[in-house]
Amino acid sequence: MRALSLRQPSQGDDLLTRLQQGEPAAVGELYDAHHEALRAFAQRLVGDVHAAEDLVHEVFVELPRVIGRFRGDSSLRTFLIGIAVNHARHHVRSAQRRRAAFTRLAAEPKRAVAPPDRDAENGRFLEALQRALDSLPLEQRVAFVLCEVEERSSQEVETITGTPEATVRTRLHHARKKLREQLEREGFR
Amino acid sequence: MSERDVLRRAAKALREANPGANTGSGFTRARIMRSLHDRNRKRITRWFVLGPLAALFLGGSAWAQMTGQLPELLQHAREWVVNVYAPGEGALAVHQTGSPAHSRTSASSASPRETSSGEPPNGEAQEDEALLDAELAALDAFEEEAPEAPAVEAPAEPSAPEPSIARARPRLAPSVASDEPREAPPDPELLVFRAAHDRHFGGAAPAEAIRAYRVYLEQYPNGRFVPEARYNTALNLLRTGERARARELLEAFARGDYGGYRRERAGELLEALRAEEP
Repeated sequence: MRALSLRQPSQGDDLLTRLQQGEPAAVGELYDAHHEALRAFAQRLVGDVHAAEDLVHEVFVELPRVIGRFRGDSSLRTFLIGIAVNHARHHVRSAQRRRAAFTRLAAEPKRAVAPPDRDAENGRFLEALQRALDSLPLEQRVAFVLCEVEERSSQEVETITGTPEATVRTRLHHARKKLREQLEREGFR
Repeated sequence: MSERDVLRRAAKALREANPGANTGSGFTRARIMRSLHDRNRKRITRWFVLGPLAALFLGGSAWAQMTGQLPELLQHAREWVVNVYAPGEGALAVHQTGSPAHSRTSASSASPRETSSGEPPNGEAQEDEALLDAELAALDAFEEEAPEAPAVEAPAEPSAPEPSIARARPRLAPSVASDEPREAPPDPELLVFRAAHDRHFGGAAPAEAIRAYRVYLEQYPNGRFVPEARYNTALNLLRTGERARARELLEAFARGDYGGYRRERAGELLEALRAEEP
């Protein structure tokens, strides 16, 4: 999918104008270009497929209202991810509560005992990772997903989150420390 | 594994587990378009309906003032407002149709959000929070004594009876006192539902989730998770391309057979399906 940015000035300006006017077709074009990247970020951050889908929906519905804040100092994709970060709190919380509700019933085995294999091990690791991520404050979770999972630079993360680079690095440091401790506690070293 | 390795593994696992592709992305796009069109339509309605109404009101008031009939006009207007919005009482009544019906408050202890039925809705976020509260309260029900719940009607289906579904109060083991923590045996219905839920949310193939929800629905046709099971079955049917069956299930939600639960979402999905038809 082609990435839309201000590197193509006439196309970008036209699209921006149409977005500012709230034209649904313009939002649709942007969705077609960026929905996969935005969905990937939402899924990685929220940890729940349906909550992530709701977040993606919210981002694009909100876009015409906030496009006026876009200054052109980053790509539109970065701007969309910034909107997602600002709207993520409710969705992360919903997904956490859903997971916590079923974790409370985890006294009994969830599935029949299966022979250990790579997929089962990966599944257990992902579950432990999700629990570890749930224990992080949202800001640290965002920093970890953007910096480590999506491998964005701390400068780009500064643009997305609106927080200084040094703060981003501090949050990332704390996130790594807590995640490592939590995963070690669950037996993953 | 060093710290770097375990975190690198974590990042890689999260990346690979969530590549961003989703067979439902077309429906999300349709939902977005519908939301934007609805917002534009409301904005146009405000300007083209309220504008002339305001002009009419101002013009009428000016004419009434000139002809000396303003006090009488105001009296008529006051009486009209009271008759429409508060017949016999003087408080806002059921004409406030904006609040989604939280008919799923049948799940045990209602959250503060669910009991504040007089509040107007504050977007789908509030509705989702209330629905999740209901779900969590239902899951908690086997740990606490649940209060009496209103019945939820199920839609008529050829293969299932057509009862009113009363949410069953889960039973604790006789030896467990209600104030003792977590010694009650697991609720069998919850276990069956959870098995399906884990498949649905755990990334299993849609056909597998459909089968698991069918097992739950067959074993507990009047169960307390029937709405979730049916709705999630509909979502998985969409993923497998079985649109006709999915549509049938979604229409029940859009009709309000399950109160406000997923009513709007089901409507949006049905709209999207219709839009995609040639």
